Amino acid sequence: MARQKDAGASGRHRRRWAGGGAVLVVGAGLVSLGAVPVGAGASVRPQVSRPHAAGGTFVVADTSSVQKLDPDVVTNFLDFQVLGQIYDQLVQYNSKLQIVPDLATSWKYSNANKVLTFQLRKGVRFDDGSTFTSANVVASLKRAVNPKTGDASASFLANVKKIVPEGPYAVKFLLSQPDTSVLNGLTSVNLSMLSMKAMANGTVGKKPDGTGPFVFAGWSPGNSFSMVRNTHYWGGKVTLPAVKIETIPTEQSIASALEANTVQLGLLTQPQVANHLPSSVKVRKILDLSYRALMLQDKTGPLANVNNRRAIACAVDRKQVLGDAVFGQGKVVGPVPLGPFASNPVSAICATPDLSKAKSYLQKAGDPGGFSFTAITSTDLDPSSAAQATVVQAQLARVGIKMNIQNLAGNAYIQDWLKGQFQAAFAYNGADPSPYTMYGRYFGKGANLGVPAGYSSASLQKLLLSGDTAASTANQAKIWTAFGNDLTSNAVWIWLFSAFDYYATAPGVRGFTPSPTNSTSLSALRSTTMG
Amino acid sequence: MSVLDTTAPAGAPPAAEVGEPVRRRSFGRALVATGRGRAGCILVGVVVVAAIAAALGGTPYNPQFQNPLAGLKAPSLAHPFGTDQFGRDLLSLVLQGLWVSLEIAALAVAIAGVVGTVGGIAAGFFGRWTSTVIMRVTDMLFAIPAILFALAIVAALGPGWLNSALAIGIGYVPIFVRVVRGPVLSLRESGYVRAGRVLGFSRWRLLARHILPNVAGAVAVQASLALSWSILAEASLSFLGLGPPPPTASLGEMVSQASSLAGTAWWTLAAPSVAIVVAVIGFNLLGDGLRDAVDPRARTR
Repeated sequence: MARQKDAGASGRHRRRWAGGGAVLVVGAGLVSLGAVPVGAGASVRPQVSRPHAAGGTFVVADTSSVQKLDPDVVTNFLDFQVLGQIYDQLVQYNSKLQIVPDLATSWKYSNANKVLTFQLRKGVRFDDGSTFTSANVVASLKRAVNPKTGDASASFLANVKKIVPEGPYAVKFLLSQPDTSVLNGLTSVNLSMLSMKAMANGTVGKKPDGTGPFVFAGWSPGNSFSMVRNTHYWGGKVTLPAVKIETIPTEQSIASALEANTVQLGLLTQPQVANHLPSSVKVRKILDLSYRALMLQDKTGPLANVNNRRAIACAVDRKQVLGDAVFGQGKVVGPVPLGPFASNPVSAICATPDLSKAKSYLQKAGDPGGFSFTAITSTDLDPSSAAQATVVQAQLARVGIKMNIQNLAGNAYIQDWLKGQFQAAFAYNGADPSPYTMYGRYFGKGANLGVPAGYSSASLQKLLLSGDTAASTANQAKIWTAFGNDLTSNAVWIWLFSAFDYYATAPGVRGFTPSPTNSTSLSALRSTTMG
Repeated sequence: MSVLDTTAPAGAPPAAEVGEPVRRRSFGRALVATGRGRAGCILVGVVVVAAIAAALGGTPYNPQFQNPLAGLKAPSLAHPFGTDQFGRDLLSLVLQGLWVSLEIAALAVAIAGVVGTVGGIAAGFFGRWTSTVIMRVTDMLFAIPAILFALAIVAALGPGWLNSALAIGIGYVPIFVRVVRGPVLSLRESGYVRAGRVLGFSRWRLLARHILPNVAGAVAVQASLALSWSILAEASLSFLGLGPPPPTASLGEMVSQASSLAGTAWWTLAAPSVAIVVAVIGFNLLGDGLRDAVDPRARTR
């Protein structure tokens, strides 16, 4: 809206145009929001526009933006996705969620499963020219478990007593007890292999130097992230010469950019947008194994009372939340949404929404008239979170619980979330076939994300430990069922649903097959081509 | 000025020249004497009555009632504006959103009008350093785009209807200061004000009895126009997620929510957009009508 400088002379023009301005502002606002950056800060490097081979820069659009460059501390999905193209780990998941080699070529357990030995890949170079050896494994994981680093997945290594190099291309993990999930944990970008030089110079969080298919080229916080292909990549030739991750704050704008062919890959979560793309845009729909949950801070205020939390659990109709927020495109899930130990999606205390039971829990809590709390959302990070919150707010109001909604920019949400500065948060969390890998960092002993988890209990810690060390699959299944029931019966959080993700590619893009785990979904970029 | 154009047949001498007494129409008649004034009164009347009805609970449905079985229904007799993705009646939401918009716009204009009028009168009447200080502050406020200013204030104070009104109101203060200061400068030197001074009237009496009534018309016109800008500003803030938080209905927030649904359910975008346009055009036309009505030359026949 233009500010008027002279109310007298230009008044007639102003009045004439203001009516039209109403239409323009409403319409243009939808489009112009695409230019509003999320987050702030100086660029690490000027925006790179390197000369590239035929095919040009491959542009990936997402509503979120890259928040951090240090792979050990990232928690945002896009950060995982993007840094996963620059860094490698020892092992990785394939599309069937099986653990396959990455920088480790093979591994074997010995000494009653208390020693895990990895053979490492030879001839791997970091972007700074140094060579990958066992010293990198030892130093990278030592950095990860150092509390000063603040690694979001350090708890995956909780049972690793020591890592011993066995020559330049082998390492031995000495475990304090048999650990079935350590391999799952090692797939995480948070446990990436880092360059010795970068660690020594303290540049890990400033200029990524990895061994992955792409090389860091530039970062404009809140706007874009650029990479060029790694010509020394050990995994074969990377066809795309350059990739740019663009932040476009609304999915509707991403759809428009795809139609205009200014974006080659759009990362979408809203079916109402994905399903209305023109036929020239190819959409791959894949059930995202991540999950949405209403995370509750259970240590202070009304949510410290388990019966108030149970009232919420009974009042929320998760099927309706799924229906209204993502038009039913997904499934209601329990704490472990996938894999051999998937939880029963039915809550342990209310199989179906039950308002009278919710009211009786409020009575027990001593809050018969209900209570109020505030939930944070971030439509930058999860465009459906506002709709989830709107539905849940109306459902809770039926039993007298007032939920205020505060929508935050992506970077503000992440900061508050990490510090636990919220009463409740609509969260979009990553999942893993191993329940220990998923929840050890939230509810395990010394959990890295214990603060945002907002809840701790000895029984959960015990279940996590025994589930991780159980010898038989049958025992594990029993333990993880009890673990899921413990979480839902105490209404630690309210697990909502897993939904479909949509990967929309512009005409001419070939070879992009997304992975079911959101955090590794861009790994297909290394084999993608564009005409 | 269509009123002047229709006073006498072509070639006839102006009425005043032939010595006829000057007749003045009543303010109300003058307001509806032009097409713009009439259209403004009608549109604003419809918007205000609808908004007040919504505030008194006169919406067809509870605006917040979600019906999962009626999501994204096209306009029909049961839901003239259709329903949104949560199955809420859009007509009811639009009416409630209009009330919220008017509430915020009215408070914002009240803040801007009172502060700006007092500032403008002080700058014009007292002159010297008072004028310098006020006008330099005004210049500084003018240098910042109003919507950016409002964004900064709401970001600092947090979203909510009161903060939105405050943010928008502060942003529009400079316009009122300038609109008022000019006439006050000439009124200060007018014969009757000078006469008042000679007769020993106090400054406050001069301001309250002789200056303020003479700038009230300009302030009223400006207020009507500012209402339309404020409605737009409120919609913009809400569109950006800085308006009143849910479940309070807000037209800008409805537009924002509907942006991803434009391809599937056009009515979710059309309903709040049309409401904004009608309200803004209505207040603009009313401002035109008011200007014509308070202009002594336009009211003279």
